[in-house]
Amino acid sequence: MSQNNKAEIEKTKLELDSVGPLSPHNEALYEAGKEMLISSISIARDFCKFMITVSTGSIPLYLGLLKFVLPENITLRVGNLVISVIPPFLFLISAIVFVLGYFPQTDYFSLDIIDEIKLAYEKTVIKRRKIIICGTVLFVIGTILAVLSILIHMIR
Amino acid sequence: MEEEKVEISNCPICGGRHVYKLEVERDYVLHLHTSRVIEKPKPKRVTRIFVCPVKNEKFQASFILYQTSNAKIKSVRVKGVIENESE
Repeated sequence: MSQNNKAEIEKTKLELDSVGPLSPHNEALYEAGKEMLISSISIARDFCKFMITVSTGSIPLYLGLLKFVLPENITLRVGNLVISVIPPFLFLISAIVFVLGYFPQTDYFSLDIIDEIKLAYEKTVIKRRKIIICGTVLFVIGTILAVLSILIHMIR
Repeated sequence: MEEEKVEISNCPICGGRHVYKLEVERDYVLHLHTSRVIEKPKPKRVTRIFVCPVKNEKFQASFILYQTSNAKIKSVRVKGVIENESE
């Protein structure tokens, strides 16, 4: 930063423009922001809980569909077997990842120190966000492969 | 991070005088000037929610901060009351 600009900023300090009661729009935005801030941890945790059920439930659903599509007493070739096994394996890993997200957070902070609470909050939100993205990606890949696997077996 | 003060001389909630501390974050960019041109700072209107320390109710205040192309305002946070005089 040049000395000239620093000096200019110093010269032009803050000027108060208007002061008034909170407008209804800003009050609604404030409440929405407060709600987002408070519920973001519990919503992420609830999402993880929901996705554990969905991921684990997808395994029997996929196997049931596969059994429905495949003729009885069929011996799959190695290639086909691999294609058939990958989706439930991905669903299982996805469920495990979501379990990690649902795991209770252990963090120590003092309620008197706002910075400590903020740090713990941000750490939790960022960690859970990464877990959710990872779990969702695995689940989506698993679902795509499951659909492809069933379609391949149907065509054959 | 720079600290600024904003004085609310007539609080819309209690009518008192409060001084709040603000944390202003600026993004500094280094420019190579060929001539000694001093850029005139441009005003930026910022609205923030404040809490009256007397009645613990929220109100809004808009204020003007100045920025240049190589010192842009990134964020303005209200850090709390530093002086308080109730009416």
